[in-house]
Amino acid sequence: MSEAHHEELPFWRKYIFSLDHKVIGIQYGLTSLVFLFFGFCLMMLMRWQLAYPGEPLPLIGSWFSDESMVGGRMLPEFYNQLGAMHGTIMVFMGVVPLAVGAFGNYVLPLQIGAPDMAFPKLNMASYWIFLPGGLIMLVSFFVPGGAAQSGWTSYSPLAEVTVPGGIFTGQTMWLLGMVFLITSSLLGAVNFLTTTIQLRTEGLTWMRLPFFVWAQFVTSFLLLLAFPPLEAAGILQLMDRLAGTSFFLPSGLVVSGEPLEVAGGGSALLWQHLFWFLAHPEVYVLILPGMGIVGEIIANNTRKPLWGYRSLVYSTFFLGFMSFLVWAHHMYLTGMGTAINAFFQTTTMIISIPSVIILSALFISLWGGSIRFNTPMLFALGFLPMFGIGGLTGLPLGLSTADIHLHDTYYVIGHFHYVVAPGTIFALFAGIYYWFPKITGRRMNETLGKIHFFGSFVMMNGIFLPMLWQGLAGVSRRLWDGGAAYAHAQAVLPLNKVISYSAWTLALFQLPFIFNLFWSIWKGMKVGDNPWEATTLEWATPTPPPHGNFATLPVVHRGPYEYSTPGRTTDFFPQHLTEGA
Amino acid sequence: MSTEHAEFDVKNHVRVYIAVFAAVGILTLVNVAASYLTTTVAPGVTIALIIAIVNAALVAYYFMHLPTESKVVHMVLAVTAVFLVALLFLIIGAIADQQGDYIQSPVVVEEPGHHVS
Amino acid sequence: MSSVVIPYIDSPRPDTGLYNAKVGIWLFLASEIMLFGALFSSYVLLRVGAPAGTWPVGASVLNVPLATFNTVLLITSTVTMLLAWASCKVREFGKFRLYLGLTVLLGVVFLVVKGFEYSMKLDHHLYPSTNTFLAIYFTMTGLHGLHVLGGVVVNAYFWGPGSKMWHTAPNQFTNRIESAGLYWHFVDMVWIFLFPVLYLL
Repeated sequence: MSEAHHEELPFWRKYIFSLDHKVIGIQYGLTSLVFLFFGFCLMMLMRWQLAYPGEPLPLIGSWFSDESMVGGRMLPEFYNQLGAMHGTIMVFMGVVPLAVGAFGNYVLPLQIGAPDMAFPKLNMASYWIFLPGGLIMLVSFFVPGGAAQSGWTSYSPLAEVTVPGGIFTGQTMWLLGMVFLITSSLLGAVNFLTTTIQLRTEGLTWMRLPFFVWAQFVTSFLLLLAFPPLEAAGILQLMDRLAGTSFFLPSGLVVSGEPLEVAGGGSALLWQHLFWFLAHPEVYVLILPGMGIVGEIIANNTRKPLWGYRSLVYSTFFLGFMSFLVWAHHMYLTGMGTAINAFFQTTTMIISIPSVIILSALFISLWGGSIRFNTPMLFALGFLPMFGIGGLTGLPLGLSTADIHLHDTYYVIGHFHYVVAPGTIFALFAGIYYWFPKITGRRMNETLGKIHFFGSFVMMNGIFLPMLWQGLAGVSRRLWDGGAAYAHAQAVLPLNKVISYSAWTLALFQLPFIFNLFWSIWKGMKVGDNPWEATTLEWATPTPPPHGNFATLPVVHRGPYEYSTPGRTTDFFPQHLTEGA
Repeated sequence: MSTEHAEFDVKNHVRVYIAVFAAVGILTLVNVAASYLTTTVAPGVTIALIIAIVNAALVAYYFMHLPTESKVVHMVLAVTAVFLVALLFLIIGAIADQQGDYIQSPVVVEEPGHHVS
Repeated sequence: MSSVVIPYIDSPRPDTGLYNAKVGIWLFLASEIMLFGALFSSYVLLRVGAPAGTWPVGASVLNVPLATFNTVLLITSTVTMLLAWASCKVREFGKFRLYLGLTVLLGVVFLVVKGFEYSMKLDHHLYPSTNTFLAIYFTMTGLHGLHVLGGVVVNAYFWGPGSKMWHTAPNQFTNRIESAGLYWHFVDMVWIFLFPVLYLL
């Protein structure tokens, strides 16, 4: 369907309060990259403290107030703020908005041949609810008492008794920020699901969808159904902090020698159940879009269809479904009985099966392929073994007996960072390099891309591999001194310096990427509409796609990965071309 | 469901709506009466929940037109129901299987070196 | 942005049998089921775990007759909402405005009664912080009340400025009323569970 008429919109309606999914996708993309950078900086500060506990921070130590750093020396409270906010920002303001808000928004309607999302106004609202939520989180650093400092997990009672007070306290602002972020996600999920169900173009049956679309579809279901219990929990914790209720405060609680003046009768474990009911599906929200992106890039750069398309689709659904039934494996040490522990352990073991199927299918897809080692493909290839390590290291954690030793140690941190950092974030980098030409009409520089990849790959392992080692030695997480006070940590303490230097070097290797991203917008090599010779519908539009995406909505005649189809002169057969083309 | 107004049989539909309205209203009043009459917990909870479920079912069936809805809607609701049940029963299961008191566990300030079980 | 035409706003997509807003509203209601479901789960956990004798019987703290009256109001409003949609289907604008107006009115009265109930509690020094029962009572009815308020605002919009669409796109308007109606029925359903659980047990 072509546009009705073309009036020039004022700047603020074209670029600020746009209804176009592509503009909104870019808004999400730029905002989340800024938040990712901020979260990364928080981690780099933490790594100073862990490598050199108690030492004054050189050069920039004086920038921080005495509430955070006295004479440049980090206070434990500030360390805890950095830790809690690093996690929160990376997960809720960095990775998910980039993976879902940016990539999902930009690519999904294009890949299904739609003119836009089903609800463009709702889409705009989602972004403009996300942004204030993120800003509330950032501003919380500057209120008295500082930002939230009870972990991204905000366990009660600690989160409630720490810096109590009115609205302008760190934890309360965390809760308010979360309400905004959750609302934004819920509205986005409704939009993505409706769009995929209703706006697939003619001929695009479910089993002809690109794997990226399936991944976003299941991800949206997870967001839709798993977030509300955390919203409920957030409301209850807000009531505890602001209205004096005791939803999560047990009776007889004594804090710093003083009995807490509340009615009591609450349950700290209730918070954990509600939190993890969301937070476990959340980790699949973190990984699935990345798997979708990697699938697209592997098919394109092996010049053959993905192996096991149906297995991939069914596994993705099964993974999404099971993700709701495993949450208490985060609570093995809370005194649950053996029956319930065994239940969650069983479901946790079962959920590893679809993960393995997906990873295997992606690996097998390489076999016999005519592989092109461009930058997106390098990141996609790097994703595979890194996600493999991340997944495998999850297994001992999923077994409740082994978890007794590993729970809340650096092993956990190593495990989940392997999945999210050289896992998902690599997939997101791959996606940026891959779809950049569709957005801008230019390619990012390959040399800088390769430097970015190889440097990041080595440094990521330099950060997270030693963490697995430290965790096995028993070093707990969230320790302000990195374990220095404990005898059992002494042998692995030097690894803290290895990790920190790797982290700071990782930062340096992002500079070529940041430069490349902006430089290429104006000076990158110009390319046509389909520089990767891909088959999916987003490459069938002009570059950049105009308002409404398609002059006439395409009709799909075949599956998404018709590469190297026998009997054709070219090695790719786009979905929308008719037989004779 | 089609939106052609010519085919919409208003009179019959409205009759059904009013009948269901009466049913739900009466059941509500029955529920209130029952609550005054039952003194023990288990029958009280059972009656209250059964009447509530019947009322909700009537609203869903006749007012929200659930049976004639598309398969997509049914599938979404079925999946939601599974997860809701999981949330409810697994939390209750975790409590039931809990080692020690679930709610009334005062946190005692420890002397160093002593282990409080 | 200049108008991009989105399909299936007016008439349903053949293979799903749905128009977009209906898909959207049902998905939203699914998430609301999880939201209130989590709160009900919390209620169960807190009540079952409470030591014997510490959890009050609803009727001893709360005003059952007033809440029963409110329940009847809400049920009535759900029927008037449905009749408003039915009037749209047969293109009777006058009846539509009557029934939707009644729905809005009943919703407002529900909220006023609720406000009155709350202020009576506070006057008797019964606050959310007093005990866990009152905490969950205020929180759950408060959240439900916010949902009622949201519905009232949306319905008032459709009764007032939003009703202009009746003349330009009657099918799309009817679909919107149907979707708003589904939301309103859901809010009623939550109360159908909330009322007995809090007041009658």
